Amino acid sequence: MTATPVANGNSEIRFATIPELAGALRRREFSARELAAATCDLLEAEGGRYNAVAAVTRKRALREADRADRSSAPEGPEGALRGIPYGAKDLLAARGAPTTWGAPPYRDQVLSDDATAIRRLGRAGAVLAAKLAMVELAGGGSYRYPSASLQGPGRNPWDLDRWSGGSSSGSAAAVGAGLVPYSLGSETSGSIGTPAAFCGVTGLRPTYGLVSRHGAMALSWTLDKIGPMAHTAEDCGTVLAAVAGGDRADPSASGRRFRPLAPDAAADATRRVRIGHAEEDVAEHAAPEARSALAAGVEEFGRIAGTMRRATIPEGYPFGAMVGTVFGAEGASIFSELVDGGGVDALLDERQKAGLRAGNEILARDYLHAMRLRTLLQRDFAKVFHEVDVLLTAGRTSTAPQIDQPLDARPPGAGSTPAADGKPVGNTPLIPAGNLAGLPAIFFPCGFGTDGLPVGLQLVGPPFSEPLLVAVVSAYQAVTDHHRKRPAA
Amino acid sequence: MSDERPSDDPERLREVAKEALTANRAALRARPVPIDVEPPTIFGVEQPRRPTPDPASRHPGTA
Repeated sequence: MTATPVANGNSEIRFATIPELAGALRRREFSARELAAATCDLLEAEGGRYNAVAAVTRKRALREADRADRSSAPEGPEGALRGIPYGAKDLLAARGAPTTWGAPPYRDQVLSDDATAIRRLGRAGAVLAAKLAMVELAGGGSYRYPSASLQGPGRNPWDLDRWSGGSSSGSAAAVGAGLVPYSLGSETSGSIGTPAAFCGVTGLRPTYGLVSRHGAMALSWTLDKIGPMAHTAEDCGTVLAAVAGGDRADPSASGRRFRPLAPDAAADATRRVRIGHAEEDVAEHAAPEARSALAAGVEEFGRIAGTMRRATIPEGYPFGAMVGTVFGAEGASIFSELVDGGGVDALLDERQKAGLRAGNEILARDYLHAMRLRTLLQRDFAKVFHEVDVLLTAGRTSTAPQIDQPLDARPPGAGSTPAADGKPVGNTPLIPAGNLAGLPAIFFPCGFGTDGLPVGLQLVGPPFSEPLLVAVVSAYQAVTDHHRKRPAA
Repeated sequence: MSDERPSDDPERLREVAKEALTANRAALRARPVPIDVEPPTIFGVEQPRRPTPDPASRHPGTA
């Protein structure tokens, strides 16, 4: 630990936002090198507590921090990340550091180049301090236990006996615990949203194709997205602005950029935004411990933003079957060598092994059927977004489960399978539905359950509506303090 | 409830995974797709064209 103002015990700095840290660096309260060193100290000292860290990248961090300290580039939005440390999910390649994909068969893997997202953050002056833990292979075969990770079960900063969520477990826990101010995670279907909701941080899943996946482990070519997790929506937007954009190395990259709305436009958009929601999401499907806080969050959100009306996602789609078939089939191709060669047996979770093997038996006609349903789903979502600008629902309908609990053991009414009880599903399948349609989402805290654990909401918009999502949630966070709450040390 | 959970026996979990596959197949086939609907392009899921009016006109900068 250093003896500077940036030392580990300084909780103001430890939980500071990106602009707060940038201001302190600009005022020379500490240097980027001191901040990087203290961040690495903290990651080494406390990362194991949450099983959040795959590797601390101290040498690289100090090198990048020195470069930031020497930089004479002008201040402004382009320099917003200069000297600010972060962590990246361990499915993103970082030159010279291990990239284990959270899985024993890849524990010694070192890739020779940076993922595009990491390279872009480096160009923006950001400082990579750690590779962060994840569920093995991002949970591609489905997994039964939180322990399905090379680093062990992701522990929640709010209660170490609860799960941090997955598969971007370390990315959320490290931000929630104040080990790094922001991180990169990835989502195929729920892997940013779930850990963001469970750990009480803000997470942004970009539109499919907005952020290059070059250098990221592929689980599903048509579903994978890379996105930021941070303390605020504004910070997610700052990171997204640095990593979004075209990339010839990723055929799915759309070439679109992200720029946040100017303050006047953001205020106007927030005033006018039409929010769609379904009352039954919380009233009928939320778990008892989360219901009251989620209901209060929806009401609070409605007071700060535009108008609210009933609107639901397109009906009649087998979302779970579609997602399972698409990533099951694509994952079977991606990991064919691992499965056919027997390396799959070294994975940690028996359900994961069985799921990856079963992917070999998905028929081409079923995969294509699921893909053709995605075409219809996109068309139907476009109709929904003619009536409303965004959809609002619970991030997750329950709080984080026990760390040793099988993930298929949630009791009835715990918010996991609302369709099973015959009640209207409302917008509760928004995570698989939004991912299948390639839609952006922002997940943000809105309070705490009766068990003291964070709960949050998600806001989903049409493709490339990230500027609106960031503006509206920033307006919410400007008048609430749920995102400022910190777990006990 | 506990009786309904799959055990951690690898053989049983393989059966569970196959049962899930069968259930997915049935759910997909219960939702027919018109013959003229193509899948989205594999690389680059097509983004739907927005119906008019374009929301971007109400929210400058959102496009």
